[in-house]
Amino acid sequence: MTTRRLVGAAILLTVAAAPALGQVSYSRLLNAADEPDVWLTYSGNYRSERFTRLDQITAANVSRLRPAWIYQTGTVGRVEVTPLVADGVMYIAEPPSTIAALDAHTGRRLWRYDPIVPDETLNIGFPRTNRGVAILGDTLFFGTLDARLIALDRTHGDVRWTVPIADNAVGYAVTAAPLAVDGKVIVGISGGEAGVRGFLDAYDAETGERLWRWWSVPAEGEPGNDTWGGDSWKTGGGATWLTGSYDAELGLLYWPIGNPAPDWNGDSRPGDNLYTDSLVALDVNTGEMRWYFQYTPHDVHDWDANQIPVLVDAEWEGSPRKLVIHANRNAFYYVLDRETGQFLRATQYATQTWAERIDENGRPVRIPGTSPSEEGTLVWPSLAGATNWYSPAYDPDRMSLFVPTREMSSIYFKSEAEYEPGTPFLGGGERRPDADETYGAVRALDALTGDLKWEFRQLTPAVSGVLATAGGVVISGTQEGNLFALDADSGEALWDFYVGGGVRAAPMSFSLNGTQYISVAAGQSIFTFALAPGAEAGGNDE
Amino acid sequence: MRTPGTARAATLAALLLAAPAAAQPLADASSEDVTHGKRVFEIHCARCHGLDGVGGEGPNLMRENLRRSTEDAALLEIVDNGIAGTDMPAHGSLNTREIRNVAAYVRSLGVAPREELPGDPVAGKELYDMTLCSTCHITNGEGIALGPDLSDVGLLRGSAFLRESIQDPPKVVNPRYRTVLLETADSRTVMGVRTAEDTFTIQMIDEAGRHRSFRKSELREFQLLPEESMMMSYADFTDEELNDLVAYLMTLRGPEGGSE
Repeated sequence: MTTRRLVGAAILLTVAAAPALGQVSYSRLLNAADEPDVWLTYSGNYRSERFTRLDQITAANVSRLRPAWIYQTGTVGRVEVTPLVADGVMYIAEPPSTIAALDAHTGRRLWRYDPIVPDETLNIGFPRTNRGVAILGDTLFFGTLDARLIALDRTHGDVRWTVPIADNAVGYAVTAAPLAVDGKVIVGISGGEAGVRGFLDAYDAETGERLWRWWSVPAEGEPGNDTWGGDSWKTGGGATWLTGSYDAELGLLYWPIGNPAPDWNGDSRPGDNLYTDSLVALDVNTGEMRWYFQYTPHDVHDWDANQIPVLVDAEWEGSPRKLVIHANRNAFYYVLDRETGQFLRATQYATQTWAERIDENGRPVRIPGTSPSEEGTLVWPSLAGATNWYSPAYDPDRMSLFVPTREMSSIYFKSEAEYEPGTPFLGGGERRPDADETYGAVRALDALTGDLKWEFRQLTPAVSGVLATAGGVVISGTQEGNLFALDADSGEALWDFYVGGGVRAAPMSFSLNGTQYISVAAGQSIFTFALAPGAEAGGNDE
Repeated sequence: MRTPGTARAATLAALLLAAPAAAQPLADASSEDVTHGKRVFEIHCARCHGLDGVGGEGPNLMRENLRRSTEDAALLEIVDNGIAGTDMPAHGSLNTREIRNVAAYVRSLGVAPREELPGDPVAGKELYDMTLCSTCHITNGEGIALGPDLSDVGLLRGSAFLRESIQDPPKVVNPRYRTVLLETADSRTVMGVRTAEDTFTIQMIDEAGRHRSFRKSELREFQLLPEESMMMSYADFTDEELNDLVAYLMTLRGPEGGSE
């Protein structure tokens, strides 16, 4: 072939390939579960299952899992991102708010964009980190610690637009991955421990224009404002710091809402403090709230609801029903009707000493004397909760929810709380108990009943998310630095690897040229694994 | 959404930068603030540092110089964030005012007169050598590091705490020094002190002082012994012997012999 013909062929190839490489259409996002070679949203699909249909890695061969490549960010601070992979490229976030594109085959960096977050940027109540990007079309979207939303061209990392979301000087920040839906970018904020007033925003993906803002704490004159005393609603918290889920047929976003502020002294905010510690369903086009369900009214333990809501369609008492399931920080597992918000069931899944039971409306019946006090009050679960933001995984074949669990108590203290903009607004805190009585686990819950199917016990309380796979393997990690694989049916440990840094993120999976990969952030690096060659690659040789 | 330990950088920044009052030396705090700080100290600090800061499981604070916090900023930093690699934790619950006031109270403690101990340190040293304490402890470079290094234990612990730890070790033993008993696949029994552990593996110093590492799934049996069995009890010391031993231990104040 002559040089000229080669060039001509290359140009033709570029033209032909451009749409495939450049566009992650909304319909691809909608059908992400059917395209397991890629990983297009924070939790893998709009249902937030964190489940891959890839089945090359199985319980029979997972012991051959080996590192394929390791990418070192070279940064300090925690890497807590869930990578996205599209068309052979991986997109990650490094602390505090830097975005990088990696060759998914080798881990080599293609480009990196640093939005330059000033050193004095506040992070009150959370690490200086970023948990991921959203992708739509040929654009990436991410938030910054100083509360900007930025759109990047995904081929080169060039800035398309930047919009300020809120004022970091009073504590607003973005650590969560945005969620891209049809023409819109949905983004939540952090800052509950600074006493910000929470909200969820939608922006036009093309222009960056704000389309709507939903406040998580109602203003004077709005329904729900009467669940706050005096002006406490103005500094009421309710941060929206974890990526929610989306039902396109219903046109509803499902977003978990953070704790009220101040965290441990509720004296200034008598009432239920809506819509803190709730799950809310918002109209994706207008931001209007369709329904809410509050897990922990008038919370004084910092048991926010910022855990991943998973959308499940299942038979419920004889008829098909659209459900949303949620393992909450307060130690109860909930099943709700996601069309109406109706409470269907709650089951305790971890040790707790604060509620006698959950009543027929889903409201906890509290045990007296469990509020924080000046002298300290011992309560289970601990401040970090029975679980936290670490993603669970839902296996639709087994109808199991795999929940990273923390068995731990705290001695909760209450102190005075005075609001000063841009400073911690806490009103107390915790002292940790002796290490001996704490441990962690991955617990497999029956999705409909919340009953325990099995648990895999860990030395220390869980801090890692979980991935489930169609190969019947469950992947998670530990704060000591183990990454491990469990049998999805039994919980038996099948493989582990020491990555040398705490696994404080959730694994994901993708496939290239017929090879399934598992990637996870740990320490300051991204680790990517694949099966080492066996007697028969991908076969049932063991 | 508090992730423990993350509000703290901001708290400290607020402490050091925000209010004009922060520039004021802690020693100049008002008596109301110091009284408030005392109350906070009694709830959060006295458990280890003793009432009035006389020391216990944690160091005596009634000293001329606090080694790690000669400057106010360093003291505030320690109250706020703890000291990495030691048992001094981040507080986890104090607000800006409480941190400042408790630090001001610590500054106000002054210097306690050197404790008059009833025992004879020379006799105590003989007893220390005779009872083979050095088979588990190091002092000034000598001994085996199964248990804590005691070279500056007289600075780091109070006498009452030392007395109690000799008489009733399990009550006060540091969880960092847990005893491990395991049986390998080929039926060997190994005992030692845990140095590290994760969900799948455990590392230890065995009785001969050697480093060992095991995969838990390859062991026949593995247990952390209950604290009661963790070390010999020396409860049969006479009062006089106990006094002598504590008097000796309280003279161990690091290589510079009492320079704080």
